[in-house]
Amino acid sequence: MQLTPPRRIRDSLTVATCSLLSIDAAHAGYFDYESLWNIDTAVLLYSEQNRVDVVEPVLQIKKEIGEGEFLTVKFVYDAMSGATPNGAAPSSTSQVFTSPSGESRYTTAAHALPLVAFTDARAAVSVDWELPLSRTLRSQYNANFSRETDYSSMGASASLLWDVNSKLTTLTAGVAANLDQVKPTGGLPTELSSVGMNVVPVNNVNARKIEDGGGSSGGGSKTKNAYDLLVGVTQVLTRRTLMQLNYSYGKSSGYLTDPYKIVSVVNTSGVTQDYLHEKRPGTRTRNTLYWKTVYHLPEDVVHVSYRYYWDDWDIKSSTVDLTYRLQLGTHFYLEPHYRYYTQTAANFFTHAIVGNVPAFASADLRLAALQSNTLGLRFAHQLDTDSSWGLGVDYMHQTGDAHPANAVGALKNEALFSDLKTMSVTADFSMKF
Amino acid sequence: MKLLRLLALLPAFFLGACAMEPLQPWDRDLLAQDEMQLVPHPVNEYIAEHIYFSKEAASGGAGVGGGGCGCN
Amino acid sequence: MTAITLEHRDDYWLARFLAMGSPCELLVDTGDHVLVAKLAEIAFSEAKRIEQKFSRYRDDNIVHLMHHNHGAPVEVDDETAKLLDYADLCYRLSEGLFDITSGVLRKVWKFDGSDRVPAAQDIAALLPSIGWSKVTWRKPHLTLPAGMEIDFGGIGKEYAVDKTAQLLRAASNTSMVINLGGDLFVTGRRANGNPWRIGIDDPDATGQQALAQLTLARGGVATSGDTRRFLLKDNIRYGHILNPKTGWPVHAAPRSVTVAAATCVEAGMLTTFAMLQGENAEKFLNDQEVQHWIVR
Repeated sequence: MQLTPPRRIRDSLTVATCSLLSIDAAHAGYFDYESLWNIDTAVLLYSEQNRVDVVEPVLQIKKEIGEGEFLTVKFVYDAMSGATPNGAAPSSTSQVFTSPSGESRYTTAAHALPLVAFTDARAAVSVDWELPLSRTLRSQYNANFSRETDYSSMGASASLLWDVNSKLTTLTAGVAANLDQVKPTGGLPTELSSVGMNVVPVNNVNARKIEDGGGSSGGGSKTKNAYDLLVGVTQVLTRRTLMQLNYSYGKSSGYLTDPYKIVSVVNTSGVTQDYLHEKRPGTRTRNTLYWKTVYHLPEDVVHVSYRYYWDDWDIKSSTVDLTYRLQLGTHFYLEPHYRYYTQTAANFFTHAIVGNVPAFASADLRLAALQSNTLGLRFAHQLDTDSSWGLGVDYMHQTGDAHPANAVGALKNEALFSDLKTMSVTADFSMKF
Repeated sequence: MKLLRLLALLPAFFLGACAMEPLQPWDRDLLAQDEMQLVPHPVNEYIAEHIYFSKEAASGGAGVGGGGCGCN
Repeated sequence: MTAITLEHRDDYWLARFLAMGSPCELLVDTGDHVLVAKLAEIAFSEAKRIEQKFSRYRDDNIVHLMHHNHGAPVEVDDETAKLLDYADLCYRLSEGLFDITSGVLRKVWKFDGSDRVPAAQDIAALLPSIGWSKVTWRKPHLTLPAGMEIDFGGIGKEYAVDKTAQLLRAASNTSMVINLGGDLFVTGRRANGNPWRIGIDDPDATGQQALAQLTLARGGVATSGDTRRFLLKDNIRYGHILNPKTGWPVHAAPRSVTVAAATCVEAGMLTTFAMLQGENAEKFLNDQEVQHWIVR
């Protein structure tokens, strides 16, 4: 037997042994020599150019608590700080805003995209329970909870996975429900109400001084809920190929507006007159079609997926994700990664309001037409059968139309969409013991 | 419509799969490997999806449920 | 029933019997000796059943039929068919080194510790009767050319361990260890949550000191290599694992290989493959990323 390069025959042997002994192949790898705990941990260092920085450690612990039965607990902590767009459009003059808490003011230079500084921390915990119901039927249940200073969320989900066709096909069905509560610092603003305007000339420049006096209901919280349904099929096509196709449907209702975002109101010459708190519709219906293929080359593995999304806010998006696992010997591998994303704008998205105030309006750039390209590389080291570590770097560049055709007056000269460049470094470590 | 054409194509893959010769048990060796799982690194995947969720309008697809956050 | 003896140890019961030419044990994590007697009976019956079904020394089983059908196809039952499929896969995975038709070599090789190495021409004369590729296996029909033999010895004992374990687990949830001559399977954690402690046999101190201790909650362990079965001539040690392509022992095979895996069959096949690797046994088992012990 020539074993150069080394060939793992063990997998073939395990699977064939299951056939010989008429054992469920799902238990093929069940060899318990005191290895019950499975720990996966990672930390993300994320930085946006001139915007937000995030540090996010994640810890996941999985334990087998019965035959084929698993309990997984995941802890996430997010520390965020930096500046994020407040929704106002750039102007030819500098702009002054009041911070969300109402306690301070901040100024945006002329022609710059207005950004508001913030700091926040979020903690989340999630529990998963995987329970086999029969030789071919598995169930998965999840409950999750998260909290940050102005937002809390709780959710639950249940899924069924049914193996058919000699386990070459798996049919999946799942439901999820979420209940979120928003309690913004500085209180809940009245949607589409004026933020407050005092036109005061400062240093001979026609600057606007904004006071957050108008229309705030002071304190209080609002909720939003969502439910999601998923049906999917996973199919083994060949010895080397696995495919998954999922369709999801989701509906959110309640307070879907971002309480911190405002929209500039401009006159026909494109000069800012006022700022209004944004307003989004009270419901959102989402659809997603997701297709993934995993293909095993002689040494390497390719993961490619395509997702098409559409909702009743008229947003349509396509995502292509490609990861190539390049095996370097038995203990190391590289994973170059590329992702392309594009979306159309929400039907109530506008960079600024001109003329009559519409029923819904938001200038949140995440609802604008945009594209993004992400390029990443992860290096991983398999220390032994039980442990491994990896280090990955990703670079994302998000672009949009900075000079849309419908920009009025002076806004034609401003960059209404500001490119977003982000860098992520993720270090991960995995261990069984 | 582009979507309808896409939908029409995809079932063909799965029907085609059923018509092929059934896989022998020992042909499932590769499929048992960690790297052939649909999500080989769940924690890394969670982190990436969280970033995209906070920067884009679309979300989800691979699974159902998951937590919410004030980031979108 | 006198074929089985029961002993009470500190915190488990031990049943002993003889099967497949080896001393066998069943350890049961219980204080209930009636249960132990019942389980031991199940283990003994299943081990004997498999021994008798695949023994080449009997004249009333499928193996005898295969060897005396004068080259005509034999229809085999489902269990035999599965074993033949498995042997066929192992033949292909090992690129022909694992071959269940190689049993005829025992006619010239007698590993009794002496220096009687067979003559090259005697070995060569047997080679035409060896080769799984010469056998026609179209489930459920097996056609053996005249003069060829099927020897399930390389799989039989480990298969018996796993089959017996399946029957025992179906009969009781109690944690057990079924050990047929050193090839064993642990069915689950003991009642107190602890695993069983398995001693890996040290070939230089068989029965006395263990080479290593394995704490096993569930899985199979198999050992290949028997330090008593060898030949020594002109300072060359001939181990008893033979290369079916040449008819000679595998060069530089370890004296003993032990592997722990999810089932005894898988563990056993990995030890056999490792032995067939000769001097590369360590590298092979490292590549397979499986728990193992090798003694040279």
